[in-house]
Amino acid sequence: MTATRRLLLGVTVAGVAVATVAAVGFTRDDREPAPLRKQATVKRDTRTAAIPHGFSIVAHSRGSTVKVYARPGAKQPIRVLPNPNANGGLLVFLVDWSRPRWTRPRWVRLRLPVRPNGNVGWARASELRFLQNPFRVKVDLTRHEITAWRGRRPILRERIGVGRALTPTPVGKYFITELINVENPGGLYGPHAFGTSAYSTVLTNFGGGPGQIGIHGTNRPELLGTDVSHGCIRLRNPAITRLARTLPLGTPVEITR
Amino acid sequence: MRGQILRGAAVTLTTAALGALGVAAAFAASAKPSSPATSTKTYSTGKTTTTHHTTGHTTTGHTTTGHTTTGHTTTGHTTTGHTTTGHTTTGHTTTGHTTTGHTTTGHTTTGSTTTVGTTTIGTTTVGTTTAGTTTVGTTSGTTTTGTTTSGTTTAATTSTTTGATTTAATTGTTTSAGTTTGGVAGVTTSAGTTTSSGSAGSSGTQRSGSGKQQGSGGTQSGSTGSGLGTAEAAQGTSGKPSFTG
Repeated sequence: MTATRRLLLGVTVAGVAVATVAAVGFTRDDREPAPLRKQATVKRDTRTAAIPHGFSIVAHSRGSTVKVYARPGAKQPIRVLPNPNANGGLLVFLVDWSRPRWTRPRWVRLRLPVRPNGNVGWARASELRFLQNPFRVKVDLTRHEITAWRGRRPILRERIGVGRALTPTPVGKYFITELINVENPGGLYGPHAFGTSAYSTVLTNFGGGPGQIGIHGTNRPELLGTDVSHGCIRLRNPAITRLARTLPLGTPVEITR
Repeated sequence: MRGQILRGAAVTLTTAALGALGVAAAFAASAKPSSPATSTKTYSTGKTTTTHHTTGHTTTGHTTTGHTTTGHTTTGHTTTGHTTTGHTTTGHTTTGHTTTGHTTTGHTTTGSTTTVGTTTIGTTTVGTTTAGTTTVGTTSGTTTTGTTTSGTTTAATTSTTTGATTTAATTGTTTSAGTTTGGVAGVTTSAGTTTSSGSAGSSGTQRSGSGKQQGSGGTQSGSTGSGLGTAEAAQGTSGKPSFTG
């Protein structure tokens, strides 16, 4: 091998090594992106994932807070949400993502678990961990029916009790924010209660809480199929138990009439 | 002995050459008894140990097949489908064994995966390894510490040592250290020049090698190749809800 060839080989090997080290810096989803000035020499993470029909993206908080901004790149957050949340659960969000493939962005648009209903904001992706979720839930207030899907396949369909006319269950697109395993499973809430990102439009507080809409069991199963609640969605205790063992935090809940 | 060393070296180099050519990818297990200077055709299958390299390796009465070793000193050692780094062994018979940073004396292992800076003296471990777990099949004796390990090691066929082999009996020994390997039995076999067997209490103090687990693959729970994991059912917190009811 001539000296020139050896030199070329050495330069090539060094280049590959540098590129490899740089690429590794972007292969883990839990790392901060490199500073801008370095990105000219570094490949961005180009890995993508197809999002199957019915799947959604859930974001889990990674730190003790998540700063929410009005727009990407804004300097001052409009909200700082604590993790864990007020009920002691992991702070999660439903990512507002409509594209068919997931590519890790710098900023993500999130549906927020706070009033007003349907509130959204932006957060740095580096503060979050992202997961895909095959489950979703639909609530039909008129038919008094809840249906849960895994992908395209319905896995549960149940009769429910919903809000009365004076305390209606709000329609819209929400998500599950927490799961509480109820200390008194024979009570009003049954054995399990999901919290959602939906809030009553007429009750600003209820039972010491902020008027948050829940999905839970019941000790009055004979009332299912009617407008009976203060806004919450009630279903049979075996059904809520099944959902509690199945649904991840962040599962989308669409409430329609 | 010199002749054995030379023949052993020749076998080692030959096997290394085969490994370098990728020949050792998936051999069926068919080990037969062999002299220390004779290579068997027993290789690990699955994802572990497909090539054979030896660096800084001193061997006496040693038969090795499908073996990757670095900084390895062995006496009276028969290994099949074995990947070792920073490993000092005396009187050691191993089949389908993946070890890193492991110091062993009078140790017989079959189809197990051992990891990370362990010191084992006078132990016998028999088991199988499937993805993510190590199952110890036969354990008798004194101590079992933990289970291991990720990675998929499928190997473990047959290994037999003949030649300069004596049989040493060891009882009352200890296996320890970090995350390792269960299985202590009271018998050590296939020891050419076994020393230090049965000296419980000294284990867990030595550490050699990198402490980095070898072995292949395994499955990462909840993650896809894209870096986007899959959400699992909520764990829930215990309490009293304050929803609208």
